[in-house]
Amino acid sequence: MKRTILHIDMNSFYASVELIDHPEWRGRPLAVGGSQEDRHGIVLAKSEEAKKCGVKTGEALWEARQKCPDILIVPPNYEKYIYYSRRSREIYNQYTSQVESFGLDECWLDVTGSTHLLGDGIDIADRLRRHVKQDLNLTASVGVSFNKVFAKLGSDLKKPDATTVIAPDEFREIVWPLPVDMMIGIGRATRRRLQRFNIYTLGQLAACDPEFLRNLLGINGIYLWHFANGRDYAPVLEVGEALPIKSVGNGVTCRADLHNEREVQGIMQELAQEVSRRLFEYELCARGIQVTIKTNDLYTRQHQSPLPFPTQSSRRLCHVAMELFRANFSWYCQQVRALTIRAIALISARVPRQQSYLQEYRRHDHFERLDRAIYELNCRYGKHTVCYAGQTLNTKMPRIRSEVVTLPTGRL
Amino acid sequence: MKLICQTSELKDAIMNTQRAVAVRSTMQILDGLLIEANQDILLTGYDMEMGITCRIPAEIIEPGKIVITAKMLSDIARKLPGETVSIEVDDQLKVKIVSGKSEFQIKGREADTFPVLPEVAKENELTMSQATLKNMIRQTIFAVSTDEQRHNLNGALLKCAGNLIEMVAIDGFRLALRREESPVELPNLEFIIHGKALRELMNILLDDKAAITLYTTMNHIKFHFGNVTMVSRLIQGEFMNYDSLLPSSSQTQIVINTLKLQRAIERSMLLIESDNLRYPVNFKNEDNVLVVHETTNVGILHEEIEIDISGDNFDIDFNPSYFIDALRAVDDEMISINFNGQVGPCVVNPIEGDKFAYLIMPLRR
Repeated sequence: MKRTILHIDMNSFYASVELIDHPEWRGRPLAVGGSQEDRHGIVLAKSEEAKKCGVKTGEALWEARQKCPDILIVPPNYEKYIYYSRRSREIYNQYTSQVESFGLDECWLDVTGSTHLLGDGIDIADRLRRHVKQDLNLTASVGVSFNKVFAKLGSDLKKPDATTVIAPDEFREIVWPLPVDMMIGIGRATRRRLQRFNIYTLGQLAACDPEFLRNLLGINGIYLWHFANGRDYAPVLEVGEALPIKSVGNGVTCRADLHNEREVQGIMQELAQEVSRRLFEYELCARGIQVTIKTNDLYTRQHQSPLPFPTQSSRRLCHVAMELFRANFSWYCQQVRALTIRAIALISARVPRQQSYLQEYRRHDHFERLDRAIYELNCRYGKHTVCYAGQTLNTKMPRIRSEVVTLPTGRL
Repeated sequence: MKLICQTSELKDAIMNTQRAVAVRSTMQILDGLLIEANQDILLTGYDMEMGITCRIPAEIIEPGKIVITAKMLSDIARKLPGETVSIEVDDQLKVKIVSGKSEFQIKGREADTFPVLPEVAKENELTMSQATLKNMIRQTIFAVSTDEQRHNLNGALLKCAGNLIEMVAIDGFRLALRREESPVELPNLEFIIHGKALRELMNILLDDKAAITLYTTMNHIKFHFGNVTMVSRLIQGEFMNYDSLLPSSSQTQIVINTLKLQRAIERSMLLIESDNLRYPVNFKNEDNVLVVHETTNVGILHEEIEIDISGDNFDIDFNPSYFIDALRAVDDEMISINFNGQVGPCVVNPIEGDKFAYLIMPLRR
């Protein structure tokens, strides 16, 4: 059966939300950016006016200032964005029960079952846009198509505040002339690889021999080939149905470079604490850990190792993270700029735990119970009620840290 | 090089030595078997960790040596038609293998680059029957740790003192111990043998009283039996102090028929569809009955087995495959199981004596 799928992309979401609260900023070029003092100085979002000056998401704030000297740069306010994101999804839920969010500002809707009540895809899309504009004072671009990939692609074609339709009998004319990286799943690396073989457009990709793509890109190549040919049958998830969490990570760019192991340990502990908290919250255990280290010359390296016993404990995570760090990092001519800890190979915390008689298991078990106690105390009496003493001495942690936003599972 | 020998003897020798051939190695020569012909034939497979040699009689027409890819050679040996086989190598390293009316010509490799097996001095010596050692390995090998981060547990400990000889394997969650008495006084020895070496050894050893002799140095162990010699690097490092792990008393002791329990657990495992989901098997008693219970996403099994019980009532979860491994290793008809509460260690013992002990840690709910 032909499906009707919508992809809604809020236009300049962060910047637009800022404008709702500060109407006086309307008409001025505006960018939401991290704090430069904390060295998070990149453009997270920009308004239409800033866009006209050539300001791009992801570039450094000083670059934005160079392009647009009178640009207004405001710090992000995630709580507010989450609020508006929730409100928007409440609206979508009135149109269908299949709403799958992709980040804060994007959603897929499967409205196949609603078409006999609300009209065809375009009608619903236009109605939705009016609804969102009226209730939230935000504009959105909507792609209407027969699968998720093309719906997403459609929402990128006309901006702002527009509806784009890609129907089964016309997708070849609309999609195939577009550059390959317009399609979800194709980023810089894949685009470069394809370009080496003179594959520039989605039409060229669609015409490829799938075996060739498999050799070039692995199994992903086959998926992309199907997508380019309009064969994407992935369902839109039901409301509240989240994709299984594959990893839980937390990372930070430090306020100043870290010069020694003690400083690294301090940051690791802080990061591990947050990862641990979320593992408890999701009732998951880590069986492996991954550490990403970014040096002051902006090189990034990633290391991972399995854990001897599944864990939720921040002490254990931090301990193994530090072992990984020591084994792989040399202080010779380099310092640490950013660190990320990621709990991987997750299993449910509800499966029974195999006991061990090893000495290290007993210690492990102690830490496990200690961290659970800390977590439960903080749940009852508020965050930061109890923490490790070392955490109060951390000086290079950014001062203002927006609470972590889990993307793209939509669990907020 | 030119020789003639019995096809079946050559085949057996190839099968035995092939066990030590490297499967993946950066040294290409190691995927071959070394054949040396002097008074007789000596075949060698060696992966730098473990080496196996096998000697067979032959009529040597011209001495020499050659390396032939092990897989190719064993495939050919298995399919040769005649009772005898002749192998001839020319100076271009071309190997001619003739048996019956069949003649293979394959390429051999220069034997000079094949590494030499380490010498193991005959200092510490230990002799026992092949069947005994084979059983001891079979009854402990399953508990050898496969976790490469726990290097010293990747093998089994062989320990002898007085007239006792023990083999112990540990993986952190269970322990397998086998004890044998020797009619003669034994030297004091203690060393850790690689799990892989033991596994291969177990497959070559015979089930009879023929003798096997072990020699050890600091770094290596050599097994000599029949026409086979095996050399393996020993695992260095401390083995765990396992005596302290075995509890001296227990809260509950039951006596049960080994096979009945084994079959019940095997049945319970039919309900576990995937290894990823860890479903426990539950043991609890209702008076003099052991209830084996399994609940998984596909169904439920409830089974009752009569037991003799002394001590407290119990209700404990276990990883079923850990229990199965231990029970399969037991030859006794009846066993005694000692439970120590929901998180304490559980030990399987013989009803009399201390020939074996299998310790299994429970799953915590």
